[in-house]
Amino acid sequence: MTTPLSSPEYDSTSEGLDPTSPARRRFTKAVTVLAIPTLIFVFALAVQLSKDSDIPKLAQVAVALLLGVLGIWALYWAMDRAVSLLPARWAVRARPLVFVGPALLALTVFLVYPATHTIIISFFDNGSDVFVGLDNYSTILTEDKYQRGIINSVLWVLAVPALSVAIGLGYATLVDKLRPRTETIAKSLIFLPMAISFVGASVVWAFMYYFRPEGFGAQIGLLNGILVALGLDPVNWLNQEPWNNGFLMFILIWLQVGFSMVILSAAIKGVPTELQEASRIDGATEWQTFRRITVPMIASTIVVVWTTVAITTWKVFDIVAVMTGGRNGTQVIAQQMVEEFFDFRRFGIGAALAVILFIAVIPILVVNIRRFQAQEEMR
Amino acid sequence: MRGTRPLVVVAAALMLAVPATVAAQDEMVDVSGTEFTIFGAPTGVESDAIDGFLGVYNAENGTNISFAGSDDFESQLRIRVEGGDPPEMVFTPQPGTICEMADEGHLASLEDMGFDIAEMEANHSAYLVGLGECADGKHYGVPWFTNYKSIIFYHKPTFEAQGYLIPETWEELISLSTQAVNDGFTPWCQGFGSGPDTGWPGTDWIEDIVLRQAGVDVYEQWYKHEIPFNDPRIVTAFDTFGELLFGEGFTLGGAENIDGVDFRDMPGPIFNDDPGPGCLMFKQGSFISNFFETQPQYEDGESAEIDVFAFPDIDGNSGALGGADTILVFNDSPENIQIVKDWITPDWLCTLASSTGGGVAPYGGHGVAGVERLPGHKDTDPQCMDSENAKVFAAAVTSALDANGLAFDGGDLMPSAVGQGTFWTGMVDFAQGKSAQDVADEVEATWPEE
Repeated sequence: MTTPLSSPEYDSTSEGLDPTSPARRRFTKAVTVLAIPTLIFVFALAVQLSKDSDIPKLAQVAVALLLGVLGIWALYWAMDRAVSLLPARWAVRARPLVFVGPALLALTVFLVYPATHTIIISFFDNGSDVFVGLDNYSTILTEDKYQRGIINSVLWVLAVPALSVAIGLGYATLVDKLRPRTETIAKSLIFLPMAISFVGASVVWAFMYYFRPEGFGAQIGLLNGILVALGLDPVNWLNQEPWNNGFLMFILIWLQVGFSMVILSAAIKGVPTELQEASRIDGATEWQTFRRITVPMIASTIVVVWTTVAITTWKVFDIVAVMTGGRNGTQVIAQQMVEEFFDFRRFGIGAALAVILFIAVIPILVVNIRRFQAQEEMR
Repeated sequence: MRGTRPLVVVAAALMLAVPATVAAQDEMVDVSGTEFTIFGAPTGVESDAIDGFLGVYNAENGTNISFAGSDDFESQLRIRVEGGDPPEMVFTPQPGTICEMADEGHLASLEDMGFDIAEMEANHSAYLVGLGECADGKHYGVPWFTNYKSIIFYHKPTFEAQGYLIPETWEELISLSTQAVNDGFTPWCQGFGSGPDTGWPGTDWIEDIVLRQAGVDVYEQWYKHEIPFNDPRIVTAFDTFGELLFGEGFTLGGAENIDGVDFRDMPGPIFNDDPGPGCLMFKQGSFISNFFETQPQYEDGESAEIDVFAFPDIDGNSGALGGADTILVFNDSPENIQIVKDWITPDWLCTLASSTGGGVAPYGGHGVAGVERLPGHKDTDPQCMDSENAKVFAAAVTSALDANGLAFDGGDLMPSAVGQGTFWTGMVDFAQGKSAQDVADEVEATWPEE
């Protein structure tokens, strides 16, 4: 990609100053000026054609790939040429804008516009017709079921990152003491669930918690199978308010421990052994070494892992939707947002929930980015 | 019903005033080569039967129509429509959602597609056709096939051995249940589970009770929200259902656990042999026989193991509650219109009806044993069904269509926030011990403002 992009740039400067062939220059100018509208027209045509179901899918994919790669390359090339036609002083200023422009445009269309639109419709009624001010927000903050959703989400954000980091850190510290081969195996085992999607994990855990009322056949869930084998009564796990929230949280912890363990383990490896040995010589116990040397040394990594898991947790939707659908007091904000928006078509409430979620994530995001930058600077 | 009829008459009169459009529809459109996927709610064997039906139709007409079913149909359809990628056509058991999509301009109306509304009303009942009538006075739903809900399945051998009589009133149903408990049986299987739609099987009970206890007028006012959901008569209906749900020893596995029983698994225990049936009765629409593990035997006129009786009268009132799957057309190409017109004819409904088409289907049956669908056209031959029970239901439904007497499932007519939301979750809360008043209050609070 770099070669084709840089060569016309090089050409343009030499060619722009070349006074010998005005005819050629005029031709290039015409091509460049025509190229941009032509390309945009081709893109529009392709989008229009892709809606035509008579064209075979494979051909559509091929054209999309070809246009996507070659078309974008051609567009950048043409815009670069166009910039070269400007006076040198202006060309220098315009060139960075031309290159960052499409990315900014894409960001605006796919991120800024939807976010702004969501904020706007959160101030309108559920049909997005009448301006209602903060009514949707006050509904969410006063109605019982949304309050439950917010409280549950807060509980998730308090519990899941804390336990994921604690378990991950403990595990990382312990496996650090193993021989390298054993350590790899032990880490892989914890890391495996990371490869499973949230929905996949929920299906797996649905069979852990599976419950059949008496009379509807043998218990096929693992936990109830064990209980029955021990002569105890089976439990309808997902109906046990408020503990069912904990059972759902455990699934996310199971998924996230691997992530936090791997990152924290890498950080622990970065703690200088001299410091640890020095503390041991001074008579510190293992716990004191861990508490006073290791943890402070990796504090910024802990914060980054914590906040990353916290953001994932705010957004959790799949697990609740698959396991309980938010019934029996397990609703969370993200799941209610999808339900309001797509099942109940209450766009106002749905958008307001999205905005609340957005606002809730911001402080964590800020801490995350700050810490990450600080960590990068230390390197 | 009564509210919609005058409008329907006006619409029908308008149709008659434009004879040119009426005449145009008699020409048959060549549909061969048409290719699309129809989207709907059925999955499992029910979806196999739709595939079987489409296979017969495709072979007969040279089309290439396939079916995609999803348990999460309602949400998925919304996402596709909102996302600008609607299917060519769908069929939905929820007419309450038709006008939401029609008002936004996504659907083609029957008037614009050249259907004769008066003829539709005569064949498919004015009531069912009227369910698809939206704010602009046009109709947007084509009733296709039906099911019948006002029935209770029971274990016939036990009833005969114990000398139990078929209950004809609600009081008799409760005293029969008590009697069964005293004789060492568990009378009822209940199952509210249905994935993301968990709770709906409970709403059918409330609807059947309201229809009888409060009467058909209140029933209509209820789903149209002319009376609030927490009207005392509705709360009473919940409490009436509670007598049966929470009766000592009445519900297999305990009422608080039934949201964990999928409605498709609910009939299972009634087929247990050892030490005997797990329960004696359950209530579900006629389609549930599609999910029976063992098929009841009907050879030589032998009585079935599982038989049905009509939902008992309450306060002397009876009723016929049913549902209908309605076709919604997003792309009204001439071929698509012709295909819909074909499908709702008695001949094609006969193919859709059962595995063999009862031996009377002109094009044969859909070929999936045990799956039966009741007709949505009054002239469909009840003999199209395979099983004796289904023939009885088909006869009941076709005569109800003829007399315009099939009341629709009220929950499916409520706005989606209620009909597919809080009414469903409310049933789960009710089964787990929340009071009837609290459940009704909560549902009422979520009813969208007009």
